[in-house]
Amino acid sequence: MKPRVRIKYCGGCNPNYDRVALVEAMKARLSGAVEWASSDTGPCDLVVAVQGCETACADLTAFDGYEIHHIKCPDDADQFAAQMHAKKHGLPSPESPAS
Amino acid sequence: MAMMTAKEYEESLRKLNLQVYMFGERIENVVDNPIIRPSMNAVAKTYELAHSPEHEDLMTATSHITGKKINRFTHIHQNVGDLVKKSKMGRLLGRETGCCFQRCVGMDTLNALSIVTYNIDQKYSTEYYARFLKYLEYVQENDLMVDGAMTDPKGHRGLPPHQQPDPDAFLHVVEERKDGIVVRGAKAHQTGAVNSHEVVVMPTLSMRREDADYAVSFALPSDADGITYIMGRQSCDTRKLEGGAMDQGNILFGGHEALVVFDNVFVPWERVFMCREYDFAGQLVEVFAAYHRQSYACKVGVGDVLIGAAQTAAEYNGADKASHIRDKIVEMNHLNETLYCGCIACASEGHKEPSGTYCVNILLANVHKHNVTRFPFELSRLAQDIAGGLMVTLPSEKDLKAPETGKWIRKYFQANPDVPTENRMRILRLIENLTLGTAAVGYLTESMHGAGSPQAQRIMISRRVNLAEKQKAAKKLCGIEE
Repeated sequence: MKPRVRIKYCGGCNPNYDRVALVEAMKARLSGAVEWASSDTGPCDLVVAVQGCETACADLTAFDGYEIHHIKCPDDADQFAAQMHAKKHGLPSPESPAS
Repeated sequence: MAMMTAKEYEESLRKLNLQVYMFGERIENVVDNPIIRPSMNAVAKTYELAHSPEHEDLMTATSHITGKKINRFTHIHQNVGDLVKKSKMGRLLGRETGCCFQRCVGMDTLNALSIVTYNIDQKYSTEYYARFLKYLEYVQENDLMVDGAMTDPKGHRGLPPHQQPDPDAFLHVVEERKDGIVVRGAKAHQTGAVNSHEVVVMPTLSMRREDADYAVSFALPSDADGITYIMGRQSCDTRKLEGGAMDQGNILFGGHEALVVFDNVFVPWERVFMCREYDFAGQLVEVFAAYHRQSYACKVGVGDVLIGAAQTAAEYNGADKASHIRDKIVEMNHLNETLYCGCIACASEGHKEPSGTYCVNILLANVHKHNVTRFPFELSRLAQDIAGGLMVTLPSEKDLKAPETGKWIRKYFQANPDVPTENRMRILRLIENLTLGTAAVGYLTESMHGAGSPQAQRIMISRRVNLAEKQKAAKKLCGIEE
């Protein structure tokens, strides 16, 4: 069963990269591997916190107890995508982005 | 009611019956007036981004009254995190609009009143706080844009309000009735006034007993009977009437300021938040000023735009590799991020007031604002240095588009051959806009005088630092025993 993944953005006051473009690219890359949940469609299995910089200040208080993956740069998105693909194919998971 | 969209906000303004004057004429259609429209677009951005997943973390909050999701501009700060997010939201919007987006004054007014009305009630057993909360709920539920109106015209600066030759130099109570008060006076420099649903008035000075009639705070619909708006001019304002898409520099957004006249305007009691409690006027001014000085986080965002424009201009000029240009860009960033340090610091060091509202560190907010009175001027100087003199001698867009002249402009004003001349002109016009044009009103002169002129911050810094403790530290280290 595909994991339900919710995207939670930081506020984007001074991002180091285009967060929306990165999420779009990540969604395209993970098409078929995960199901994307919005804030309106109920529970999720894990949260991807799309942080514009190292400060990583996205408010995650609503996701206490959830598995959270922090994306602070495009490399983190690459690692997360690789991890999700590995999960899909039952392979050992590469190291996840730092939490 | 849910948060308004940008379109809903625009439509809500069309329902207002404002009395607005500009260039000697009554403006019937304020929303579509080409000089005013860019400022509405800027406020609309505060509504638009609240619906964007990639910005809602900063742009929205949870109401402590209703528990509903609200636009952060209608929120009362409940913790240090809220104060920090407010600063970051200012940077975000400054960068998105490149101008004054006008909604912060209302937010700062609401937060200041949430503190001071509570304190007045504690001393005088009045009911201002309850009235205020009811009003706040109305503002939050309807997602309103509020003009926080503090600055009086002030008349003779050497005289207190009650001694002014013209008693209306400061707004004051002229009549008290069973159902409310009547006020007369004006508020100057009101940013976003004609883009506002509501106007909330505050006194502008500490008051004495003799000035009690001037210690008044209230809220009114912006189109209440007796209120008149006279638009202020801005440098290069009539470029917006030329019908072009380049010479304005910032072709999307702008700010505005207006003189707001209250000519014997009635205010019902339920909308009065202070009436003659003169001993609290100074507190309201100080608390509002602290919040509003923090709000100059917006200039960091505008600074981001100016730095981006300067770097782009350098690349278009083919000068970006020169070491002195690189160093000037570093200096611009140094100054801009120092401003950011200030707005984050005063927020991070915030504290809880008796009403439960969190307030910024007043000393650090004043230090931050004091830097804002200086650094944008240096940032602008560096941007103009990098841009070169062409910025102020550039022919018009019409000349670029005209067959007779366009060919010469494209030929002689192309620098980097990979860059169309039109793009070089556009970026130079943006730098002009920010440093000399309509946006310079907000980025420069308003940075100097908004939320209080430089001397006001120096007075607050002097009051707030603890010199005695610093002396103790010094004496201890060198062995002085007293």
